[in-house]
Amino acid sequence: MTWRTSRLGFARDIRANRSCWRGFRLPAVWRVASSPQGRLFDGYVLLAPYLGPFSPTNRPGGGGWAQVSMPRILALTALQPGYPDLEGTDGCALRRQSSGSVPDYSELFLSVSEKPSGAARPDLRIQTGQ
Amino acid sequence: MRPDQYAPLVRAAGNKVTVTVVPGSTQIGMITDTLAVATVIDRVQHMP
Repeated sequence: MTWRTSRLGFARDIRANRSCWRGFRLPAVWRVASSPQGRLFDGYVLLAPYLGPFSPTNRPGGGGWAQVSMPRILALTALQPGYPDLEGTDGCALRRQSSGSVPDYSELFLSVSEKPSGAARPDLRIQTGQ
Repeated sequence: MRPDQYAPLVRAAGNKVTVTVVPGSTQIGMITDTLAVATVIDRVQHMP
């Protein structure tokens, strides 16, 4: 979402996003913020952003909310791009807790949705305009 | 999520990014908890 606020009579454009595997907005904000066009906005607000599977900001094993089948993911990787919609992660914990949650995540979804582009570290260099 | 790990990670990357931790809030709570939303609004209003 874009927040337009007024401060001292000047309009400001501020991008705010929360990380969630079911959404696609965080990578877009992330990439814009770290690109030369990042200065087009006055500021960015990242709400608990997901920084990749090996980030220290994540709990080991994702905190137990899902079960990842590594053999299946490896097999799906070998089968790419023929079967991109096969599930590699089962959000069983989420399914038990909330019937409205997405129960399964495909390899394609996980690879193109919330994961920051490339290595996470360069993307952390957000253009702050300072 | 481990909210206490964000600030060290951002500092290590050499950013001038402000990290605010809302006590007791979860990741989903960042857009549903009253305190979290109020904190976000406050930080936006006081953004340099």
